[in-house]
Amino acid sequence: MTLQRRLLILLLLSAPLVWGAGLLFGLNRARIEINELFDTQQIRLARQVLATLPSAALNGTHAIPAPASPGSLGDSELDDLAIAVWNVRGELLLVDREGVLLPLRHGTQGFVDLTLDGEAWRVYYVPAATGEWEIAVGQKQEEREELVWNLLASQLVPWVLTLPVLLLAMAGAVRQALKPVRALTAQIDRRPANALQPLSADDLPTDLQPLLRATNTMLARIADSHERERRFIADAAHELRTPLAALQAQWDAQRLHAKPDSMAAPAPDKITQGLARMGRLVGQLLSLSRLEQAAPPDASAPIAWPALVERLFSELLPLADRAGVELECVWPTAGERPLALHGDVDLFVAMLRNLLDNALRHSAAGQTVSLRLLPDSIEVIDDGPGVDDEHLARLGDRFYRTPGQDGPGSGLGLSIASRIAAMHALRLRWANRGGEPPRRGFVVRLTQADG
Amino acid sequence: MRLLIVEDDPLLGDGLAQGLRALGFMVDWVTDGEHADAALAAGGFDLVVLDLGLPGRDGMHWLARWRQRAERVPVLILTARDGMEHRIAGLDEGADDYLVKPVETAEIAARARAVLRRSHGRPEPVWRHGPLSFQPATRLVEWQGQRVELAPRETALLELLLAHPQRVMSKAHLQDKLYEFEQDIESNTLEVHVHHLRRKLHPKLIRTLRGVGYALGAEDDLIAS
Repeated sequence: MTLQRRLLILLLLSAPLVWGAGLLFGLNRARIEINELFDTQQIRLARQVLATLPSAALNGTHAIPAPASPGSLGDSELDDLAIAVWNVRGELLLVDREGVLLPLRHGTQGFVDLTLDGEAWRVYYVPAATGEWEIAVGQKQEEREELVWNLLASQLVPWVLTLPVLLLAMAGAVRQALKPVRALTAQIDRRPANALQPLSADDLPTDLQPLLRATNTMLARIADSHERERRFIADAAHELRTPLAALQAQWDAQRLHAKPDSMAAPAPDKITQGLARMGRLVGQLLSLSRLEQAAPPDASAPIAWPALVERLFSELLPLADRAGVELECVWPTAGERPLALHGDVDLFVAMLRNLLDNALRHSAAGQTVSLRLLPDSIEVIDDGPGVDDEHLARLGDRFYRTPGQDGPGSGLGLSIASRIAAMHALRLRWANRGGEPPRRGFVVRLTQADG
Repeated sequence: MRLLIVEDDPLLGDGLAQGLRALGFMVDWVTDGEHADAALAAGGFDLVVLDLGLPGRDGMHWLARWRQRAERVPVLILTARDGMEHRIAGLDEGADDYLVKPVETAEIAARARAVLRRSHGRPEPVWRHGPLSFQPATRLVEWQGQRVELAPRETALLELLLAHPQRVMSKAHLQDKLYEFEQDIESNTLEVHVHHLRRKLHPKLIRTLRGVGYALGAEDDLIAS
């Protein structure tokens, strides 16, 4: 799960929870406040009635008439509040419409919660100081609850309405806050597989800095060990050259002493062949290790195909001659241009030389090796025996040579070519031509990596 | 011809000295720059085969020193360093050729002879390719010793090809060289000249590399027939 999703889920879950807890607290507070308010009101009403009673000199029961139109009073209906006054003998002196419900409770002073006629009431009892009267002021609990809920509802509505907006804002904030993480991810994603330079820490939040530092330290260690390995291979190959040259020179000296004129048309004996193969291997190893540390090629320099082909074929002509193989270059049909490539022309020559070299070595005398420049690909095609399917996949592996192959191949040519292709964002693929045996040769195709 | 080999590896130095002696050179072999310096000061060498990775001072150091004191002896570098930057540095410092180890003794001998030819300051008066010979000065073309008459354009084309025996030259390149100031050349004129040269000299003298251009045929093919 992404950090962003996790944060969002946590936020979306905890926001309503916190909000709910706040609501409960608010409900409680509102209930207390409202109770206090109405209690005070009931006490005040009782006192006022008490204060006016001596001058009223009431005899018999007086009913307080209901006002003609109580509608304008809204929720606080008049029948929610009840009042009753008794004399010392327990006779009702003054009562309103609802007051008749209130029971007389001698000697009670203060608030009592009662259930009258199936409804919950809160009643305030107070006797006059003289003991002449008893007064009860009651209110339906329902009225208070209604007020509490109305109060809550007025808070709830804006909350519910703004919740989606709030959640959207939180999602946006999370996205915004995680932007540096995404930028870092993109930076790592964009890197080529072998890029081991430290990651740049520009405007990365401080809490991510330790992670970045650790990553960079690790990258540096990997780069270091890569470099050491590469240098070891380069040094080893380099150091092999002189003993190899010594072997060659000693062998040449032996042959020349035995038959001084054999140099005119040197018949390649087994030792010379072996030496040639080792020399080639050492050279290929060095070019491969040099490619590993090569700077990225200049992607703006276009490749001029005619000059490149001329140079390439000039380099390969002696080998083609020795093998008796025809070399040809096939250009696109009129009106079309060969695949436009950009980069280092020396590297392209090295890549195509390796591919054509392979093709020449696997061709028999009289066959043809073609370099085909097509609008969307470059192909190197031979008429040789091709490669058994089980070896096809491993062909690009370093040092892999198909069993039974005893030519001077190093098993590195395709690796070198693939590496150069990758450096130019190109892809190299190979296949037998004609599918099932009898096959009609082999093809290596260079295309754009995304094509 | 007297060669000075500067090579610190005993097995390589010994092998080279023996092989080159067998090929008819007079060879002196030293294992470091100081001895080479002393030998050169004494004089009498036609060419130096110089290793770069020498004990003490590097081969490049000695090459620079010799060129500074106007020592004109041709130098052929034979080294394990194959980087392009090393080649360029070596040739810029005044080496006449640059070979990367390992290399067959016969090739060293051939390169040495080529360097010597160039250093004597006179191009070969006769260019040979198998049974063909051509004198640039007199424009004389001979096939197996017999004079062959060629049109001026055909001779010019032959000269271009003989000047770079290992090189494939595109039709566009050859056309540029042959008709530098002319316009409106028919596109198949070059093919006609090639056809004439093949007919008058040998069918395999000029080979076609389809899609690229022409190159001189292998010498062996010309002898065989």
